[in-house]
Amino acid sequence: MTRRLWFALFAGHLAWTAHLLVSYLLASLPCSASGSVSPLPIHMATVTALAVTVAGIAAGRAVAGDPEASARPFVGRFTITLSVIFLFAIVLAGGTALFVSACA
Amino acid sequence: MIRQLKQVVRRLRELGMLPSERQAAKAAQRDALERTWHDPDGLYGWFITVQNGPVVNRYMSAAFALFLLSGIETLMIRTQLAVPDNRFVGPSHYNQLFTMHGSIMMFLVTVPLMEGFASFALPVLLGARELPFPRMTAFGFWTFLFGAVLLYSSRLFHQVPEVGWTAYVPLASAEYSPGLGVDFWLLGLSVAEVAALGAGIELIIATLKLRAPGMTLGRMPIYAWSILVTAYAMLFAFTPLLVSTTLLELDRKLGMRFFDPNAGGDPLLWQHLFWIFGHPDVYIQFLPAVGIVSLVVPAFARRPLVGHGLVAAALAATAIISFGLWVHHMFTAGLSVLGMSFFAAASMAIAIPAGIQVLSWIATLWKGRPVFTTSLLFALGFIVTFAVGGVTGVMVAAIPFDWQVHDTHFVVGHFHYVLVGGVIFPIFAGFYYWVPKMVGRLLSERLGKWNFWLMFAGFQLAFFPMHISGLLGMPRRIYTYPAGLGWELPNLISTAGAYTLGIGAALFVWNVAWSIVLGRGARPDDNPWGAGTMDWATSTPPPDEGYRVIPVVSSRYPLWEQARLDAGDPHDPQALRHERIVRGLAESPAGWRAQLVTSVLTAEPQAIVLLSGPSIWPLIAAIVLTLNFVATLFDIYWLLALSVLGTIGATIGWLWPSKQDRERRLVDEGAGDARLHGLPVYTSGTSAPAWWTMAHIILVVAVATACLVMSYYYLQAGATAWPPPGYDVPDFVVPGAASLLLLAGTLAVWWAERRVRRGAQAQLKLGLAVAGAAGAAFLAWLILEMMRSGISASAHAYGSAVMTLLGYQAVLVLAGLLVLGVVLLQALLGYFDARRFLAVQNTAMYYTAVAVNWLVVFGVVYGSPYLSLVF
Repeated sequence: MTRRLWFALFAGHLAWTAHLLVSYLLASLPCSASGSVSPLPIHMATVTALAVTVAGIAAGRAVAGDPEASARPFVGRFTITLSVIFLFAIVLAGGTALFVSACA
Repeated sequence: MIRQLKQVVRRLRELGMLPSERQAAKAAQRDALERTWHDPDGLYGWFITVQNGPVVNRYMSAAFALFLLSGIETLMIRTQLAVPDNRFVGPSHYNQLFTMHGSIMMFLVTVPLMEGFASFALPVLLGARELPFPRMTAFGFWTFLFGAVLLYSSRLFHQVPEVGWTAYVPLASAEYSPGLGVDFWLLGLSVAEVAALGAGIELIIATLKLRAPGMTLGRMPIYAWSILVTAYAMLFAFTPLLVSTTLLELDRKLGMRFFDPNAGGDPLLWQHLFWIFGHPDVYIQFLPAVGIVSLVVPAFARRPLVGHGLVAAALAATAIISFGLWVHHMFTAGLSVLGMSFFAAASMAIAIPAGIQVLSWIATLWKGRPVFTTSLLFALGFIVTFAVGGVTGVMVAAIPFDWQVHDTHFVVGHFHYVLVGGVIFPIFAGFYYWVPKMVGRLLSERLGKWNFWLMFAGFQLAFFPMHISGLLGMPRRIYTYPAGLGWELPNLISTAGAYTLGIGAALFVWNVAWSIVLGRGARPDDNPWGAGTMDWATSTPPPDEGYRVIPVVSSRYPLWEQARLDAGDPHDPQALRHERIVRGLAESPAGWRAQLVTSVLTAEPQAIVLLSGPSIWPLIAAIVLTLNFVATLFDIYWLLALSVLGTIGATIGWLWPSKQDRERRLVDEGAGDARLHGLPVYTSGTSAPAWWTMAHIILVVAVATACLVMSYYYLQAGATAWPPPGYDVPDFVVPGAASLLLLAGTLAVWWAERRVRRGAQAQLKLGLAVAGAAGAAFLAWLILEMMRSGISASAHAYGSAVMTLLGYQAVLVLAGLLVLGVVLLQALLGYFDARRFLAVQNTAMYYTAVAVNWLVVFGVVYGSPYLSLVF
């Protein structure tokens, strides 16, 4: 398995997992005296996770187009589908930070 | 005279009245193959068999018996709740009933039934002769059985647990649950968890390494995908459960303080650890069900599954996302709202892959010509019921709604729609689908349809009204309720539904008795459903050797799309090579159990390996393992010491080369070449199933370490001072120096591995001996460190966490030394050479993992307190 294939396989999954845990950690930080926590780090985590997942989709496309081995087109499409599902999941989770205050 | 006789024989052969010499030779080879794969008969043979056929039958019979026992408990629960102010059972007995019902169904019925199906179907579906580690299959059965007996034996001692299947602390702590009830629960489940972890590793390796030539990942059946994904989920989920049950048992038995808020512990830690297991566990049961339905629907719709690749990806996504949902069980635990909202989003996101699966089945039925057999009816019942359970799942994922219905009967209704609709119905679909292949008798379709409709209608009657009683405010786990709250009618209907469901299940038992035990069911041909997948390619029931000629696969539905199973795709340049290998394997070797190993992505043949034969060691290992837990349960320390020694002895006996292995060696040495049909007979690295086993054992160790480290930091995060007042920050100089011992041992064992590849026997022995000495010295230091550190494990959660991490490291080192000792002994007896060194390689891998684990433990225990001082 090439590095590109490994990346395509795990990019979306790990980006979503890291985003969930980091966002949860950031949201759990004690609220300041003014009663608010800046949502900026959470938004930055969301953008980073989305970028990694999109890179994973691009890697999956490259794997699917690789003519070397018969299994690659399926594996490439498999990784793309997986990453697209995680893309939705990251958007859904990251989107909540736009509407819910950390100190609500 | 002899010449005349030979002429007569020749003439008879020409006339076809006697088999030709070639035919006679082939028949002799076939007989030899059958003898090799046949386990001994008789009583002793019953105990030592490792063949997946008989082991699966036992597994499923035991799990189904537990299903019936648990079903009786269900009826008692529903009888109690049928009318208000009922006194059919008392509150304590009611607590015992729902605890045992939930625990048995979640841990000892659905997962073992799914494992049983997988152990039967996976080899034939993948084109393998057996599972990769038959002794592990047998060990899994025995440990599951002993775990179930241990848990149920609590009734004999009047110590039945009363804490629910979730065993929340502080209710499950020694203070609020004195006696042995919770200990029976914790230790009984621990035995069964070991079985589940072993089964998980075996199923992963079967799917990745034992596929027939040509069965690329794209051609792999969805059922195999579902088992692969489930097995990985088992490793990641059952390990946290094993850790959490161990921590709770340490609290109860040794007075540790993990969950005691008065001494730095936190009850929420239990909830986190339990639900990191608990939520994925629902999917561990559901995903194989998806696999079964993805076989049943195409078989009876008479067309391939629509969206095969999408469903495979959706399975993987479902399993992964299921690990990000655990907090949605803790929405009422006072966590941050924004933090919970991420988990609410993940809980809704899982509807995306689940929706892909449901739409795929509907599209397959829509475009096919469905034949409504009992099996398909159960699959359809599953789709309808699971969809309702999925919708209510999205409802409880909404935080405000969950606050309203948390711990009410609405949640009971929801999870039964998911677990009965999503798991039990597919299990019945699987029974009606595969039992004819397993036992050689068709189940009655007429009885089957009654069975389905009674169960389906009974289920809806039993569980839909719970949503209403839950919305009306009826809490779960109450043994009775007063009249006048509007709960009477829903409860009465639920009870009537439960009895209807029970009658449906009883009808299945009667169907099995009538069709199989009384022999009234028709004998099926090899493919009675006209299915396209290879689980129907063998004779009925499958022979011991599975496939004499291993198939060559060139499509997703070989029985529909391939004219011959021993011929590959003519456009595939490797097809001729594949054919030559599988035909060669049909003839030789016939004296030992040979299995073809293929590559992960493209299923290219890589090696021919030996599968283990019948052995008493799986049974002995399971007995001594269970005795460890029994001795702990009753505080019988001499028995504990004996059972630990017994475990060591059983491990040595298990790992010792078998008679078949010695026969393989003789064949190999006689031929002077360790290759058969162009493939190596001895292999190492990623070609070897045992290498993958070790890699996954290391994965389990890593997950366990992650759970313990997470627990340490979780407790630290809630503490005002860490270490607490009265404890010194631990010194790291001596432990740092001791680490060098372990690192030196790692280098020595890798050096030994490199040298044996060049045939250097003396250096192999030297390297292993040095590694053993270094590991033993480290272990001695570690034990002294634990004794002399002055940190009490029972005074504060800090001490509990530190001592548990160090103790865990000591156990890992001890296991490493044990394996190292066996390998060293084998090295002294000359078992290794430049071709045969896999055991040395695996030992080096494990030793490295132990050393890396120590670096993590060292960093946490000795390093991170200094970081807290700095920051």
